[in-house]
Amino acid sequence: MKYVVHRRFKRKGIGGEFNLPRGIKCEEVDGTICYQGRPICLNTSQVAKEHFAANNDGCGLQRGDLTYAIAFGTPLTELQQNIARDTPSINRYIRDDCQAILFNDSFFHAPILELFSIKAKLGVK
Amino acid sequence: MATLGGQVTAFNNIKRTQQAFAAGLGGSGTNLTELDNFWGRIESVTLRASASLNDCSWDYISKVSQAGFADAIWSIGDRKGVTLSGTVGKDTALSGTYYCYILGFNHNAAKEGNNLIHFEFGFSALSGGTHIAFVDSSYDTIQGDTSTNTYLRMNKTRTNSGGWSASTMRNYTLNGGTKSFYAAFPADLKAVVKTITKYTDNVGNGSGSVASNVTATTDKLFIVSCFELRGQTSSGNSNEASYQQQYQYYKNGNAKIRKKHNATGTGSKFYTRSPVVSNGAQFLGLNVTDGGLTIYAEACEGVSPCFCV
Repeated sequence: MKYVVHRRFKRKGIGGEFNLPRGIKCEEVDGTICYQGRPICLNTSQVAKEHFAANNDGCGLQRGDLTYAIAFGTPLTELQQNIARDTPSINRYIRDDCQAILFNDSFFHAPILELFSIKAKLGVK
Repeated sequence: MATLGGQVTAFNNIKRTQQAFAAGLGGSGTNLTELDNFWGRIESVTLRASASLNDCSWDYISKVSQAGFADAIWSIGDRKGVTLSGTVGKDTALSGTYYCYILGFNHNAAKEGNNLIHFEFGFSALSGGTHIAFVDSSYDTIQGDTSTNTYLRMNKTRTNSGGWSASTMRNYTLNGGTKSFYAAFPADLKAVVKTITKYTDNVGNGSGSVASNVTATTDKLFIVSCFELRGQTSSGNSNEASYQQQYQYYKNGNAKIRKKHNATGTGSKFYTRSPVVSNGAQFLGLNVTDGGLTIYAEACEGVSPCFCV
């Protein structure tokens, strides 16, 4: 799996300090996102969700911008949370937990058109 | 076909990673024995690519946390089962596995301490389940009991004087002797729980929203403040907002409401550690429908202990 940095990553990862600007390409090895062979983070980690986007289709930067806006932007209102829970095309990307709005790992690898659709349905700016 | 040059590059990458990792865990990063010792950790990190937080030991979690890259391994909301045993307070008998979850990484690090994972109890299951608070047999009543190991409540009498710092909840129910939540923790977790600095109104007694009333305590176990939970100080000291941050877990929009740990179909009010500033009798809490609540300090309500590793 190919990854791309969509938000600058300037801090410590598994393999030491990194300073990776937006657009830098990375690769995944056995579930670990690496840069030039140095392990940065696991692909399911918080760091991965906030800084790195799947890029096999070349749409990683867009994907990262969309997932960040939806999952880590302005907190979802109660109405938006209800829409997320009640809309099948969205709730399959939410963790199996009726009391939480935590997007699952599939969300961060979702096709770009589905992410555009989710953003529109939730009214995320 | 692989070349020798490629192998040398790969070897150097591994060596650099090893050194960085060893240095991150507090070693010099140059001693060969030290590097060999840490090689096992490198392998375990990479081999655990699919492993969940629940599969990792507290010792391992603690070392990664100290190394400063816990959020490169785990994620907010990840859960880990903890077997609690013993009686807390008057009659909260615990003998089962409850699931704590990650509230945030390096939360408010400048004021509270760096390289810490903040956890809260809890959930009733590793996946799905119910968001719970611990309760006792006198839930939502006011009791006259004045014994040291009293019911789950902020104080034994109707006062918020001394705020969080002087509370029975802090000094006995959470961090006290054999009938505290800390005492109910398993030994492997006790061994890695870190002391954390928390800022709260520690004066109370109806003295108003005074900036100097917000002071630091150092705690092993604590409960969230109103601002850490809701992102607003409500009827508490507005100056707490200058010293606290809302936890990322709640900032992400996750539900705050709880159910009773021993009756997961029934909602539970629960306490925060923030005193109400307009009177000397109440603390802030959350009701069962996600609304803010003022609670008389001697009322028995739900408790969700937090800790840092």
